[in-house]
Amino acid sequence: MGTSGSGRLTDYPGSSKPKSKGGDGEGSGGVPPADRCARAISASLEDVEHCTYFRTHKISPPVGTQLHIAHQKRLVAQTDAGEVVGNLPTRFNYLAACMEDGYTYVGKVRDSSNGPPIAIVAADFAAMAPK
Amino acid sequence: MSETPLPLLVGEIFVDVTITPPGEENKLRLGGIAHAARGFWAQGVSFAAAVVVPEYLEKSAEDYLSKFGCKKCITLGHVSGAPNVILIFDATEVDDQNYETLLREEKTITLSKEIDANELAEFTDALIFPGSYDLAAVCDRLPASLRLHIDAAYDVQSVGNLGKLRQKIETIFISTSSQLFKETGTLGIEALASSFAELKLNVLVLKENRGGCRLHTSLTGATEGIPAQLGATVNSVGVGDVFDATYLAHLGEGPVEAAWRAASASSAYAQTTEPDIFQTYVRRDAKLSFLQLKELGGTFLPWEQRRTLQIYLAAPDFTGSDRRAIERAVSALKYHNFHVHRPVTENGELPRDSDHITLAMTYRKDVDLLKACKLVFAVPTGRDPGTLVEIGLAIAHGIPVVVYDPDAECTNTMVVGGSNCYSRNLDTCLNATFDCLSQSIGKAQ
Repeated sequence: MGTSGSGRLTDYPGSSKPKSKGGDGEGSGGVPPADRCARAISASLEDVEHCTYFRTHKISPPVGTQLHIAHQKRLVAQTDAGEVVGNLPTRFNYLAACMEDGYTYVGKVRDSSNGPPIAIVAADFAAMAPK
Repeated sequence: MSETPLPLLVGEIFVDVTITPPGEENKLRLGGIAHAARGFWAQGVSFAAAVVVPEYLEKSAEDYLSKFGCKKCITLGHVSGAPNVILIFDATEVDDQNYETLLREEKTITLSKEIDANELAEFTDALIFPGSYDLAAVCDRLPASLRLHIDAAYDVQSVGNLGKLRQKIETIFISTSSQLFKETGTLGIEALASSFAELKLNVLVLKENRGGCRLHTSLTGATEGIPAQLGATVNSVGVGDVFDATYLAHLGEGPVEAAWRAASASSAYAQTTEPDIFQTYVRRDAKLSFLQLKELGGTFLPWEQRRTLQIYLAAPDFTGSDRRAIERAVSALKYHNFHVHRPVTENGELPRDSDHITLAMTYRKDVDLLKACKLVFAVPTGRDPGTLVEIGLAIAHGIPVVVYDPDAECTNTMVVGGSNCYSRNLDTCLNATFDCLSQSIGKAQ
């Protein structure tokens, strides 16, 4: 956790303890990686009814559907066919910069409902580190 | 950056000690202007520093700052009688930051008698953090041509005091947590800007904690709202200072873009205390264009608008109950200027032997109040049945529910699954409150 204790100043540049680069599914159990880009995430998607998948199929994608995160204007979860299932909550906005850095996020639908009152899709994503 | 004049960072050096729960090691960092120094460093901007520091810390502080790109460190004065050590008991600022400055009443500052004018002549812009030192006396030692960017969040007693400085003040940063804001700005950004009109600023930046910030440009009178990028807070100490440094580092790209970049960097600083990781986050964020940053959006909830978004407190808020968690939650919500309704207080606490008609009347009043609110913040301590019913009612009425359950007493499918946020962590619950209400405003607009 960086500087620990109070004996001296230690949090100089280059002082971070070596850690695994993460990714490839790290973060799904145990201690999460220090780098937020390498962490797995779970998210309830937003605006599902307004996105292309629901508008096209009139239903939410079934549980187990493979998704990946894409950066359009917002961060979105989309199917392999490129249909947008929903927006990611803005607390995951940092992933946009992670993706610019080469990280990818692939996952599956874990919860799906067509409503009413509203369509719901929740998904888990694993982080894949840049090659 | 070699041809660009270095920014001059002015202020005190502290040692920040975050007191952690039993079983965790306390966290010690250099504080005061060291936070802004890390902000410059992460942006790849070298800087100079003019510091007020206790003598025992002078050498190590200079050495530390040099590792973060400080090319020149000038001692403006010395602190004596106190070690300039701050104990921090809540590093997440869910509430009024709980700081304890050791021996503060014994503290005195002796400014250096004079500073070689040639040492300072090269600087064009200074980022100043006022402190216990005499700000006017310090500014008298700085070149008259220097453009000042002042963080007036703390240790500025009045706008008039700033008007006495001989330099032109370009930017004022102020925070909703500062006393000066409470005295001058709670009626809105226009009123706040009017309070600072005599200073003829270029830009006034109001930092609104988890609700984002607003930037008021004097020349045009325009105000730009910039959302916060909320994440799990590891340590919020110095986040505002990093905002200021990042803003100054990007000012050449215009104040609006500078503020967007500053919002991203300050969010990153709150999410790690490891400088290398912070710098990695900042460098990654720099790969996003300004347009991309704007399109991503965030959480924006202006201070005065929060008063209009009423929150229903669902909790066993009864006399004689253990209300410590409830009071902590209410205090945090009020600190962030939310209008919290406490139904037990507003509609009355009934005696245990009340008859059905009396209970039904109060029930209806509570339900009416709940339905009039934009969000239900629940603290179901002791698995209070009334609170659980209120959670259910809110879910049924489509009202967002945030459940703060510090002892994890209600890890129940209906409670956890039905609420927008369920957490033992007040920081997480506050973020969710901001997020839900920010979204409700967005949808309304």
